[in-house]
Amino acid sequence: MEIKISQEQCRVPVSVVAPTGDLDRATYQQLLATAQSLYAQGTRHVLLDLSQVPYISSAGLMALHSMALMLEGQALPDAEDGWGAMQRMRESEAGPQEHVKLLNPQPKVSRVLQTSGLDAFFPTFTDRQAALASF
Amino acid sequence: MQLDIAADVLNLAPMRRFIESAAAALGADAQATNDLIQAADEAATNIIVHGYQGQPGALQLEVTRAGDLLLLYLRDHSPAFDPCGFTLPDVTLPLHARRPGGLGIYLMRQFTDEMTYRLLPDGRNELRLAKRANFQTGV
Repeated sequence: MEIKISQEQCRVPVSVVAPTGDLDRATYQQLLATAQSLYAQGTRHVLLDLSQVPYISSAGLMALHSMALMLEGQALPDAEDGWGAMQRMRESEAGPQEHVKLLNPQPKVSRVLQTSGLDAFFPTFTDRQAALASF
Repeated sequence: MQLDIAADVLNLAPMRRFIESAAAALGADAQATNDLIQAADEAATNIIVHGYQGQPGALQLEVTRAGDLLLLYLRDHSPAFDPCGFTLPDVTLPLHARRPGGLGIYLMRQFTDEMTYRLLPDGRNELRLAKRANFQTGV
């Protein structure tokens, strides 16, 4: 999986992360490793460009969730605790988190985000400038 | 149509492509095909990660049609496990008491119309995933 990274200076510094390819059990750790590296360099806000991601499985959902937790400075959940992680997000009264936002998820990916209920926690945009301005 | 493949997460993408082409050959509509692929990926991932636990193993996929159902059979030699009997975790339980893999099974249920399991006489697990589909050609 190729992952392109660019930096944008908005009200806060934002890293735009653009993976290319399916986000499944074989690839999700690459996205997590990228997020860990960015976090170590000081990144706290990511715009995840999903326009070149045709498919996502529960492993990819876990990567998104873990990215959000990591950038909030929270401990990462057990990698296998998918349902628990999702429930915690659903039960959270804090509403959408502000550290990871999504740009242009493709229809199949949107459907999985909606079905899992995680769409409520990731602000999602179709316009890059509007997304960047929202941070 | 049948595919025998090693139980490896690197084979999930070829497995998805196989289901897509097999379903297309049967004339199934794209939405039903995509849903079945989603469920199959989650099922195969669970077999590879939790069933075989990363050890070498075999996976057999068979795509077929019965009436208005697009069917996928997934067969493996990992220890017997019936995901259909899996109870979604009690969210009041502490996290360490919950069984892993629940999100994948939740998605399997959401993306299929039927999900049944049986232990084959040869000792293999057989998971049958069914999705109602529109078929363009009679098969």
